Amino acid sequence: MKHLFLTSSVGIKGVGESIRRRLGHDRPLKTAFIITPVEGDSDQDDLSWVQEDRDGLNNNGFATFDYTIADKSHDQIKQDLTGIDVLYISGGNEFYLKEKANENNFGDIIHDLIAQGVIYIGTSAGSIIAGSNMSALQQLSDLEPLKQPIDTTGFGLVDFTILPHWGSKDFRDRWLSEASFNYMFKEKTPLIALNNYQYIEVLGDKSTIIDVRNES
Amino acid sequence: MTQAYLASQFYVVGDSIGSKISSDKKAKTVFITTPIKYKVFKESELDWHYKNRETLKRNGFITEDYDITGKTEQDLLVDLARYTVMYVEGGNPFSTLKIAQTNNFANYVRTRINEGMIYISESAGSVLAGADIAANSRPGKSAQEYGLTDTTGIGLINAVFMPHWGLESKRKDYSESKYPQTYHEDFPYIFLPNNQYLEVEDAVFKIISV
Repeated sequence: MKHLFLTSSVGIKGVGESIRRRLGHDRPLKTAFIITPVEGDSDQDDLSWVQEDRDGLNNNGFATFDYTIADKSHDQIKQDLTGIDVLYISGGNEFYLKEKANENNFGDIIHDLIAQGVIYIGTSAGSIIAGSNMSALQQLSDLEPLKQPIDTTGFGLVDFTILPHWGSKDFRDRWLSEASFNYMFKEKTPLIALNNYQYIEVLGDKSTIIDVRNES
Repeated sequence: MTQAYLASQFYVVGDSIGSKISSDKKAKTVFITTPIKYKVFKESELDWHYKNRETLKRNGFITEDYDITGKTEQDLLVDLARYTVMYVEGGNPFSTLKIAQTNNFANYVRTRINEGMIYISESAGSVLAGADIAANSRPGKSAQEYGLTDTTGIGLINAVFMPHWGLESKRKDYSESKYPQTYHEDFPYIFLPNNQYLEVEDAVFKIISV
């Protein structure tokens, strides 16, 4: 059964711990840490958040190894990801990840892995791209280096779009700009705004919102 | 077990909701009219309301109207005991919550739903079902204007329900009031277009598109 955890940031204290409690694993889970969205992020100066997210996993029984899908073939990725327990998609640039995924049908690999029982964990861009439609978010991302036209479809694992880091001071100007609002206010896809302390667990077609501040 | 169907616009999704509920339950439906009692509408403003009623009827819901205004907690216990479905209409969540706080309506609903009553709603009724209603304020229809210091909703879902997302006629309300009001690190916020509804079972939900 499809099992996803869609977070704003798995590095926030309590999020990794909460996911661990829900999974209840008693051995380290082999976790592919897909760093491709980070490679497409326009801000490469401070990537400390990537390490915080990695720590959030490693400290909670996920044995991560970094992996990029960029410039790899479909078969190569399938082979490299054989035997993983968890597929973790990092934050960064979701549109860049989709561009790279289109070059090797990584989306199909994700669907196959999930069907085999691999758990999907997303942070930020990794949670956004789990949805079917990212068009509402075009104003928030750096699209300049990407090929045109931009592919705004996600991997279609859920039928809503996550708005991560909601309420955060760091993202205020991006989310609340007039341009962003005008792009987002469309009668298409439901949007779910999650702050850094919340995540969605998806089991099959059912979703639960968890706020780790309520779990002490 | 909580069972609820929270819509933005009931008549758009009502056929789908109606198909999920048994005829015997639909035969005992109370239609909570309180959200539309906050003002006198012109006939021409009530098209959506009549469409909701027609959609309920077409789908086998046999409804009786009920206004919680002026009712006591004991009245609710007696008057609503025989119903197996509660439909809460759109309108004004703030005036409704103000009245609901006088007779502990939220607690009554939670208790009955735990006993098996089904909750169906649109717009204001769905806002009321969420964790909190404050972010849905806009000039002329706000928590402040009704003197609400506690804006806690019924809590059938642990998120704030933001209805009619993307509807052009709601753009100004959203851009100037509702959207920026959600930008806090408090609740999750669900922005739902009119062609979708939430199916809620206990703490778990599905988003259904029609």
